[in-house]
Amino acid sequence: MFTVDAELVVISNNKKILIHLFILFLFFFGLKSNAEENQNTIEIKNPIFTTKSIDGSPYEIKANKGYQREGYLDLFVIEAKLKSNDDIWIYLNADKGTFNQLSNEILLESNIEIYTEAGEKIFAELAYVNTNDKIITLKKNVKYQDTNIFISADESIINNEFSNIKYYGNVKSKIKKNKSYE
Amino acid sequence: MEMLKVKLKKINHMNKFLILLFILLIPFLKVSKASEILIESEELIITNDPLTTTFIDNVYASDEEIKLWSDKILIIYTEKGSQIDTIKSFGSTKLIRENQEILSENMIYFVIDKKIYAKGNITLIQDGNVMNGNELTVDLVKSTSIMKSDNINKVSVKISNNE
Repeated sequence: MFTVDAELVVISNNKKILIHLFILFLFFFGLKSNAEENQNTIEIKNPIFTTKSIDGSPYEIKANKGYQREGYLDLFVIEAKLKSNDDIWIYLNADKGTFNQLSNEILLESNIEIYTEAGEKIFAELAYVNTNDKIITLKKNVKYQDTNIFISADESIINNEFSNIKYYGNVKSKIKKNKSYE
Repeated sequence: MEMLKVKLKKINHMNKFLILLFILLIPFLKVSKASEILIESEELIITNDPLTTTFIDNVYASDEEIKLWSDKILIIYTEKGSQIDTIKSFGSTKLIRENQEILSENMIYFVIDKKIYAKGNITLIQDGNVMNGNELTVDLVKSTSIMKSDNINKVSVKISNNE
């Protein structure tokens, strides 16, 4: 009887040791992963990227702060601009975003404002910008404003540098019949 | 005291003048508000070269003259692009203005000329009377409507007797 009790105590102790080992393993594995992550993320203050898209037209991305991780750059308080084929700058502002340096694509989030020198303005909460083919997809609370027209919609796609704009879902517009009351 | 009375009289006159000026400006304020057209739809396509604005699916448009429902409408601007010239509707279209209701397949609203032109199977309902024809012209300024029909079918009118 005594032997059986002693064996049970040993088994119980072994179990405890295993549980402790497992917890220690999880702890160190977690620490190592965090350390690896921290090692791969680089903070950049006031980053500015001036580069060219596939067709050679320049674009610039500025931010207050950025975190570099592999091929991505997480940016905060973004001011970007793309040059159209007609030599018109398209300006993009947002609270935050992610720039994919390999594909030249930008995902913008929160308080997005896109405007041109021609006085066109678009606002949205989410935008996906492809700098190569210059297609801008806007989602959530899309609003467009110029001197003659106001439009609101759920989604919008801007093609060919503002020469073709499509709006989808719950489109509401207010158009001035003429410019005499501006 | 006399001076004060004169001053008060002057202020009173000034106030009257300002009120009169405001009353005179009211019609102009109304014109300013009326210079807009509101349009709702499921989809909208805008092209810049040439400038076209196309509303697609469940389109509803309204201004101070008309209320229009259609499958698709196209807005055409003047050559300089500064003014809406015409609004063309395609597919099942219904237009309501004053005491008239027009049902047609295609309709053109000449915004500058303030005229409506419809062609196809047209039904015009006015004060309970129903008219059918193939061509309709409505002059919004003169408040006249002319319904025509082709040689085969004549304009049919169904007059309701409400008395």
